[in-house]
Amino acid sequence: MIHFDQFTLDNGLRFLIHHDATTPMVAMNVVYDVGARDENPDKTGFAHLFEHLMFGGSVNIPKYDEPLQKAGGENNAFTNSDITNYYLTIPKHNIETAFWLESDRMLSLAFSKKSLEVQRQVVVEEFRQNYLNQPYGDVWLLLKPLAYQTHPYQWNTIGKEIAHIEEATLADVKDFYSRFYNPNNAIVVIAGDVDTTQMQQLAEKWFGPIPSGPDYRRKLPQEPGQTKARKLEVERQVPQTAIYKAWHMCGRKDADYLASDLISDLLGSGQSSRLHKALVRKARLFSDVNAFVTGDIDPGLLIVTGKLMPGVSVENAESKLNEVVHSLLNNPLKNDELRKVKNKVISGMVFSELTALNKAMNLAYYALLGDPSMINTLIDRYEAVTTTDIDRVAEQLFRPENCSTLIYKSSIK
Amino acid sequence: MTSHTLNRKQQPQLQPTSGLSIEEPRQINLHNGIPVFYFDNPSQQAIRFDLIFDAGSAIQSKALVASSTVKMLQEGTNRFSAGQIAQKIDYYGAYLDLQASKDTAWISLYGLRKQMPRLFPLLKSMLTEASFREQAFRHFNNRQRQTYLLNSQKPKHMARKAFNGLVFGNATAYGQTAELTDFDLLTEKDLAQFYAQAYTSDNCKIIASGPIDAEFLQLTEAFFGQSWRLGEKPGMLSQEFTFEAGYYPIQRDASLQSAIVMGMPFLQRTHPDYLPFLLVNTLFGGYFGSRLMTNVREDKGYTYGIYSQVMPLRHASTFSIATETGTEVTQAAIDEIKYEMQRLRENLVGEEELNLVKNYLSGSYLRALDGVYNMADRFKSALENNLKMSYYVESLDRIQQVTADEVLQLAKKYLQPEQMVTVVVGDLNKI
Repeated sequence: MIHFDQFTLDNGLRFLIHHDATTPMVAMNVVYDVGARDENPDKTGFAHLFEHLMFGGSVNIPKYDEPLQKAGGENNAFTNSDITNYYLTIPKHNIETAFWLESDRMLSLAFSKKSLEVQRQVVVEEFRQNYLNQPYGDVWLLLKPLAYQTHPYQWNTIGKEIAHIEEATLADVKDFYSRFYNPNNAIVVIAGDVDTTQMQQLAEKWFGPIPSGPDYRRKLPQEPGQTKARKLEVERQVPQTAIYKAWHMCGRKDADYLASDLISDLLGSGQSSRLHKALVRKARLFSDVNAFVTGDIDPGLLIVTGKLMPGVSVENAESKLNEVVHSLLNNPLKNDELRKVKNKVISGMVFSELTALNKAMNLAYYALLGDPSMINTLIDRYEAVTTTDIDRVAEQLFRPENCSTLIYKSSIK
Repeated sequence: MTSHTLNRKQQPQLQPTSGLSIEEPRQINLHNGIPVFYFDNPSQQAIRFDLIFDAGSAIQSKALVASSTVKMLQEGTNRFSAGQIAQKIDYYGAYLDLQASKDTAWISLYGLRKQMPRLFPLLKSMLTEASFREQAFRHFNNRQRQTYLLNSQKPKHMARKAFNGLVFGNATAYGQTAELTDFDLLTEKDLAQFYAQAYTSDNCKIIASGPIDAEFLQLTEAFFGQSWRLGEKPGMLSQEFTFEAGYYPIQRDASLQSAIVMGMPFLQRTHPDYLPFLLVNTLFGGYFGSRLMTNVREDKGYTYGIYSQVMPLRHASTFSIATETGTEVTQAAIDEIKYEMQRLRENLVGEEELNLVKNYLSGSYLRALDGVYNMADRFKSALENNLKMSYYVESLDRIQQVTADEVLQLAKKYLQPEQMVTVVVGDLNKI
């Protein structure tokens, strides 16, 4: 059971405090309710570029990292389609430095031209390093626009193309900041050997004076149901041909999300999963297979991937892959198979709650989803999923017309 | 609150990070002599259980043997098939990590305390009666070959591999690297033989962390307390080698970036310069605020990241700098790396920056020792070199005493690009 206190400042900034006396470090996690899905289709990659600029100096503090490092702290951040998340850990006696730093960049940025120019270049190199200059690096750049034709999930967090990043202006930066980086659009979680009353005083002192901003009402175009199977075939200089399949599933807050997550585990989590057993160990058609859900807040994707062993034909591999996926429909689930994936989810949660930082991140994310106590109730909700739920959700998911397939062919003979 | 008196330009008063209070692990010895080191945290539900063997690649007489042996332990034993092992690991919500480094190999099991009695029979069987069947081996080896081919296309991996051969020598204990043809030469008999020699009870150490009580220690004794397969383990291969500095370009067609690794063989942990140099390394390229990151990324935008590191092994170590940069700025990035070395060789580091690095390192040691799993990690690395946890207290103390003048002297001694190899993997015509 993870206990936490909550309070909200007058400007709308929410705080959650979790007390953990076992660690000398305190974790502070600040999540902003903005991600790549909130971007303009002509200026993609911006939420992530902006995350870089949050380290380029704020209105009163020329450098973010230096004072934090001086205090013995360390930080990082990530952006995905839904959120932008900043986190740090710092020795507990220096926690006020964290309040000072995070409140100043919530108050206003320095908006330095030099920082924008450099970070544009850094992000272009990140784009090249992770997406363009690696084997299979562009898979997501191909798969997402195949599966999504309307919803902003069609582009990746890094952006649709390098040009979008290169064209970002200081005016874009200022506009984005004033729309999204407001106390009423953020949640702060503090975890460590801290006292809630003292944290509340520090919160009022440093974050209280920040004016709230306009409320952001999200009105994203939703993806219509897919009515026809889609297929894309590309050829690349990679050692193995690979198959990627994506089925539309429900969103994170939907009642069937947990069943969908367990379905992906039944198929592809661990070496005892159906895909691994049938296609890697028995038939030896694939060298590895995987299945997972994207976990997005709006309706996401259930993905199945596999890399083919040399000499195996795409047709054969794909049809066997489909057979295993469809085995969930006509090969009734045994209770202990469901028990197995639930056990794995439960122990995974135990492992994810070992550090104050992880607890802070999880609390922030569940608070953003609307219910921080999910950190304690999620296990029971997974337990409540029945084989009937699995059957029903699998039926909805694995309709042929609901699937997008990417065949990533090796051009090496 | 009186916001008008709030001075946002002024950092809140800092308190120095108090010294590390580190405890050595507690220890029992099993009947067969296996030492069990443990870090107890009764409030946790999950245990991390490491079995460590002196079975790294430094003692293999054929490429791929050490890493393949440890990974194949889950591919079947005389008692359990690969499928049964996988089924039980997953069913009881556990995770298994099998790996070999140059000096050691280890099996790490992560699982809930209450499931350990059902997981230990698997571990025991993997340690004492792994089967290395030909069929299973062939399939395993083919899959490993695919992973190898994939890695061979990653620029960073290509550069690191070339660097490893250049810095240790291709035919030595630490320098040997696998080529594609080595997969054809490897047989299941090589693995079975290595297993028989190196995975013995007198070559095993255990580290347990989590809720470790008397009952758990008894369970450990019951499963791992009898001797198995006492034998002579293979000795380490020769590390005789004469290092040669120089430039080593490797062509990667149409590469959009160049992977650069620059470095040299470095001191052993026992050398008096080793600990103070850790501070120089941090300052130069060991953290986000380092000279290299500040210049090459945050000022020039040439790269997504650039780091330097000291990598210690039992009988050697390396110092290296690594980055991936845009193809067109490859030479410019190398020039900046050299320039930053020169700056440290010629100018005293300011007190403020020196103190910042010391403070950062204090925090980073505190973080690295936070929680029993982290302590187990640090202890595992200390144990590999016959050190104790107190080594970390001593090393942080030594780091805190380093002066600006010492930094200058160490930089003059060790930050010399002409003493290093520079590996560049990229589209050489465009550099």
